[in-house]
Amino acid sequence: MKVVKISELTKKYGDIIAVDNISLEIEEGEIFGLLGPNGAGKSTTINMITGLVSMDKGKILVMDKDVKKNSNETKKNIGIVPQDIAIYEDLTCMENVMFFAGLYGLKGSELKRQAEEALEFTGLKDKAKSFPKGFSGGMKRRLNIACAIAHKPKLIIMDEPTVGIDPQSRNHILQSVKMLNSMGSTIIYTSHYMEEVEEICTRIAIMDHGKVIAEGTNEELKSIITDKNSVWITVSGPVEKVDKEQLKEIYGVSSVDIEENTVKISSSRDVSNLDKIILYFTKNNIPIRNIESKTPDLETVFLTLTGRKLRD
Amino acid sequence: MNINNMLKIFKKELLQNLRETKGNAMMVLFPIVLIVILGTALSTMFGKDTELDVAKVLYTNQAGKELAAGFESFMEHAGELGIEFEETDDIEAGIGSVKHAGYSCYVLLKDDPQEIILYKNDRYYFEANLVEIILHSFVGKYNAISVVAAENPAMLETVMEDPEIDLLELKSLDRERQPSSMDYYSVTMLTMILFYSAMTGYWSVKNEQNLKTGNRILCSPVHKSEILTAKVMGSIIVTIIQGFLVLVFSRFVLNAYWGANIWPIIAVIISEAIMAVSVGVGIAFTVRNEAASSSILNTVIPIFVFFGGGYVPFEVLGEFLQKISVISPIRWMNMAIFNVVYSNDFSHVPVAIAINLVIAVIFITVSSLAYRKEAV
Repeated sequence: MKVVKISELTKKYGDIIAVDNISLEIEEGEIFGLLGPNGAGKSTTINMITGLVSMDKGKILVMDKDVKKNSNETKKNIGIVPQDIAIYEDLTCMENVMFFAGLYGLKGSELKRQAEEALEFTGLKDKAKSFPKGFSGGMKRRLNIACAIAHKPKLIIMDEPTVGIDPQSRNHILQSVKMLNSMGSTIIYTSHYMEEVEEICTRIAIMDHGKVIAEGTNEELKSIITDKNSVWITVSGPVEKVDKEQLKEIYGVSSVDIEENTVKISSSRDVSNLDKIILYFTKNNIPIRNIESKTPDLETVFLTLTGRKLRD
Repeated sequence: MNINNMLKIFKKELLQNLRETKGNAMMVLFPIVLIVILGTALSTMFGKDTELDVAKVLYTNQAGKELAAGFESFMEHAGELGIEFEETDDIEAGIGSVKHAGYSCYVLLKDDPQEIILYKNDRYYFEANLVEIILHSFVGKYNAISVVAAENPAMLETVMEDPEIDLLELKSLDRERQPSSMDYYSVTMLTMILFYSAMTGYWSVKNEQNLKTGNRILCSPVHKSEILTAKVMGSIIVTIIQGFLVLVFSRFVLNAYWGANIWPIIAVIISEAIMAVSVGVGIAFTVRNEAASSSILNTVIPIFVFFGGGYVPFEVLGEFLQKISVISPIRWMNMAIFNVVYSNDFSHVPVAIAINLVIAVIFITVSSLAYRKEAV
């Protein structure tokens, strides 16, 4: 079942095209990554899914319902974790979660129970009666998430949920995303941290200048740009003994570069030649200190597709 | 409209506003402190100062024989109330004396056409008002006698002896019910602080914009009209509670006089709370720049309060400023409340309420239009 179906979606602000005729389909149970630099159109796309921003052209279906025609119906199935921390500092954690969850129709003991569950899930149960004023950025981010999930939405949209927090809180959030997904929620996860998207997303769309420039699984995206694997071998002995030409004679090796004590060898993806490469070093008495297999990451994919880095 | 959604937002607004201790202290303690300070410092302008020890009246009598004789009789009776009369032939000097010397009034009696012109000194407004009322009473009787004398002279003696036609009847002036400074500022500081609750309405919208919680609410299945209504209602209730605390404190601790008819006053207070909160909400939606919108409110409110007689009675503002003061809704509210408290006159209550509600409707309409168009 398609949880979200976007067709030919366009949004303009004056002369600026924020979202340019994009089409996407998100299946139930996916963690769908929306990757792109600032201003790529990710947040505008999300705001149109949640009904915050009107679309100029196109159609969005959430759980088979048109967001334009069934605004409240579709909103009930969505939980949004906004990019900016959107909580009330003069309400306790429990009051915050109960207020936002209450707007989705939860009442009485059900509301209280689900709010408690959301706080427990985000590790804030013991802070239920605390005001978030003195919380760290990470704790506020977790409360931001608790407010979005208490009503148990089928679709959770997380817009850059890890911006500006410590690694521990980031890990906690990433684990939470995976758990929410395993509990049955479909997730749309936007970020410009490619390592996060790579780690948790089952499928990814890369956006730039309002357009989806690539879409697929992590592996599919990487295969778009390269047919090469790289092996970086750091030696502890004399690197001058390495003969580039001899290495190139090994089947599949296409290029060899030497930087300080590291020998960077590129080979065709479909050739398995690592054993022969290592044999070359041992035969020539060149001690190996470290071997790293370098596959292209999404940063490289983005760089190749757009000519600039994600965080430019 | 979903009542449950509105109740949830309303409850949240109430909770947040009641927890806003600084703001609440400001809205409740500030007017109380001002009532005490102004009520004490300016007490000489009110209350005891209005005792009729000596009301000095200057007059020029250019009237014909009959009116002059009548006026002589009037002066004789008025003297019994402690009013002293001095005659002058110089009209200009007479008018000048009222402006600059210590006379309550200057009365000019003219012949052909017969008329009595009264110049009042606002510094002695109580004495001047007393003179005006008894003079008005005198004119009424003089006119009645003149008509009777012309139409049926035989009845003249009966009319003259009629105790119902009392030359010095005091129609509405009640010395017992003139406001003391504490009474006066209890009313004006209450209407002032209620007008400042425009800030409560303003921040209830602005905070949601600043915290981005407004967008989060909009992502939930709640209509904008429900959000707006609940937010406005929440701010209004908090404002009414604050106003009620000031009223109770002034009544029972400062012993301010609020008259015998509290319900019309409460109606005016509620309508002012509705108006002020709506103005604040309207400004928050239409003026995006926070510094500019704050400046507008912080400038307009004190000006309206001043023209409304918030700091000094509008009787002493002078003729020109009094004319301008009609633009201030505070003026209409103060007038309505003072008339209810001291004259049992309810005629200004519907006017004040109508003004407040019309302003509220205008600003709420503007707010809802701006909110509907608002893009994230």
